[in-house]
Amino acid sequence: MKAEDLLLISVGGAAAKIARQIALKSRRDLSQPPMRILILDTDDAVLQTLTHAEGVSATIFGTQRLSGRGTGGDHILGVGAFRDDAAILMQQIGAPRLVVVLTCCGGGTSGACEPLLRALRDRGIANIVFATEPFAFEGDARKKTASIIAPILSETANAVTTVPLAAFMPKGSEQWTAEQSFDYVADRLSAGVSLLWTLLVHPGYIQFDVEHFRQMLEREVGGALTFAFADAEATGERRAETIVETLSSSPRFRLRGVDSLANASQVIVGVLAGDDLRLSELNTLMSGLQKVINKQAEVVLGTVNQAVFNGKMEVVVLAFTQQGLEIAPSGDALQPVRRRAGKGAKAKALTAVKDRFDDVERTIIDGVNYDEPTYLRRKIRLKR
Amino acid sequence: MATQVLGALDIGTQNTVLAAGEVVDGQLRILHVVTTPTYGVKKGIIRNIGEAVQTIRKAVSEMNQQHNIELYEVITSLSAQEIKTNVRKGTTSFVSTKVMNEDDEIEAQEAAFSIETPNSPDVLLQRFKQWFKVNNHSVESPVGMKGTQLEASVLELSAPRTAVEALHSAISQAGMHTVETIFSGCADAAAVLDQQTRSDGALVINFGAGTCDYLAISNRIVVAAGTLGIGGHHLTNDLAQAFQLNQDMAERMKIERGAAQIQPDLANERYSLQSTFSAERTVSVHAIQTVTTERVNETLYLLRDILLRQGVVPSTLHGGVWLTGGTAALPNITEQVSTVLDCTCRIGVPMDVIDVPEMIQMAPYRYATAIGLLKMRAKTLAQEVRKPSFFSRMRAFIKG
Repeated sequence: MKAEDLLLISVGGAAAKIARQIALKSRRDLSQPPMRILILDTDDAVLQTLTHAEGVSATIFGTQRLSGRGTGGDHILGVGAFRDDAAILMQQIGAPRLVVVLTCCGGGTSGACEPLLRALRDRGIANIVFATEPFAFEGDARKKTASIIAPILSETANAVTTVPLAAFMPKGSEQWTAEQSFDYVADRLSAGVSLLWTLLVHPGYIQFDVEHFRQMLEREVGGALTFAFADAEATGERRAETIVETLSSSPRFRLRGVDSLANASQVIVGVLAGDDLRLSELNTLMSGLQKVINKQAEVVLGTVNQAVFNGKMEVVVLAFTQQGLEIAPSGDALQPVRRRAGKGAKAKALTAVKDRFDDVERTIIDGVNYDEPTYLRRKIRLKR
Repeated sequence: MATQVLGALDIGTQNTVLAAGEVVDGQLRILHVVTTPTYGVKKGIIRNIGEAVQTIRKAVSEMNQQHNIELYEVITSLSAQEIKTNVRKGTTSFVSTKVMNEDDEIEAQEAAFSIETPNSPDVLLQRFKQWFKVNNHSVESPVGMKGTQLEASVLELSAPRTAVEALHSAISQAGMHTVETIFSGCADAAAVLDQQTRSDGALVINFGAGTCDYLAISNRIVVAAGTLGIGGHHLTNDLAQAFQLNQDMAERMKIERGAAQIQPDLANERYSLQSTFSAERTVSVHAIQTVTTERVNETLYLLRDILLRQGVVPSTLHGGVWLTGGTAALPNITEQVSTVLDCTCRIGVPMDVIDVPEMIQMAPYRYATAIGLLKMRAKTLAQEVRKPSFFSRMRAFIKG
């Protein structure tokens, strides 16, 4: 996939800061094409504070309604603000093939994600959403807004992860200041998104099949795919082992009492390393991860090798789970869900929930397969 | 003299119904009905004989233990999307003008019958007499008419041999003997239509879990019959795919919020999905009803087109449409059927039976097939008592 086929959109002030971090991170690696980033916010003051970077454009929207101010936590204002300027904003977005949306659900501007995601889907643009939920100390109002926005994202996005900010925090971070905490989260989130980005635009020795990924996201199988993600980096002789340990125990794979790796239907493992990456390290990494990943899951590996990363190894893991599938609670005493699956089950893992008529003669009349859902055949969009 | 207890077994895709009845003073009395979830059946056809046998045994056991009724033989029904219909014509010519009798009637019909071989993939399920022509003039019955040529038309219904043999084998392994096998649409018509409605013309649709059986009658003659391999499970599966649910959750969603037309008073609500481990999520009722209405609509339009191809215009059936089967419970389905087929639609209720158990009264459309089977069996036995001859056996074979 070419760099121009990808677009990162941040929605809201907090997400804008993370987007800026990502832009800076991507510039660090000079061989990487500049990331196309569109920062959207209603608050002019936030946009003024951002350092401009190559490929980054910042747009204020909803000025008629909000006069360049924030939404004050009202997500309805966020929706209205986007709708006011939808035509201009969609023109600015253009026609990328994949859009990564970043938003922090506690703010009212994140309400704009709903019309944005609908517009993207209407135009056939695949999207994947990285959303965060506020820290507990941010107060009930932001928590309430997040509780409204998160389900909407699940209904309108192609794939979505909603991670509580607290899940990013490492052990021993309790004494950090709020600024340190936000900076750390922004750094981790940007690291994960950047790594995914690099994986998408850079063909490595083990190339990640981006088209397969995009098709997987675009497949209209009802609500959004949900995913969990975590990243890790390490140096030194035992860097692969260290990364396996970090990822296996990452709290981001154990959100809300659910073990995302044990329940994953597809897992994407992206490895960014130098030319010194050894096959034995890849073996260590993959065999280590596969011990904690659902045995039925399809695991896809992609690597990017760049000389500037010699001596270092960065890994991002995205674990996709479908809503409605059996979920195993996390906990060492509990075994991951083992589903009986025949030949081909892996390939079907992300296409749909089990089709009731898989093992029976199809109802085909005049060439039409009536076992396929009517709404899918008729391409009816559901107002979820 | 002790009355004979009749048994009827309707193995549906979702539920199996075992009914026991007896004829008292010429009327069918329902003794007891047992219903149990079906295993091993999909789209009306037995896919796993072992599971089907267990299902039947469970029903038989409940009938025996709870109601102290032992059934040794049953009349049963079959529904399968592979059921085929074929209209055949036969002619008998006479040397000179003669007054026709019942033998001539049967001879003309026999000339129309297809010839079945032991190895043919399909077996004949039922024959329905359609019309007669004496010297090319249509008559309702040729008996007593004068002419030199008698033409008969017969509608034949055949089913895959494997499906019929699997059904008989499962019943046999469960310890019972099959005395007759009837197309389930025909059993439904026997249950819910009276003579006047048959004369006016009617369409019976059994919208079951696995299939949709239909039988159209005009002037007391079966003019079209068949099965679509589409049923309530398709609605469930559509919901499962749309909202990423397992089939049980989707079934519950269908029962609680599915409809055949969007219900404005509910459409703005949200339906809450709760599972043991995952967080609660909600789904728009409008979206749920969009999925179910689209499927119901499509099925009804498909059925209308098939009927039109078979020469049946539903709006000319003045007796209307009678709906049976589990999917008849879907809200607004009669209204939607009326809209699509342009005629009145009612929920089918078994008629001319006495002592109807409460469970049948609660949802009569679910038991129409089993009750219809009992009525057909009672009719066959009554005909045999009156005239245990070749003619009566032929009549029993040629339903109409």
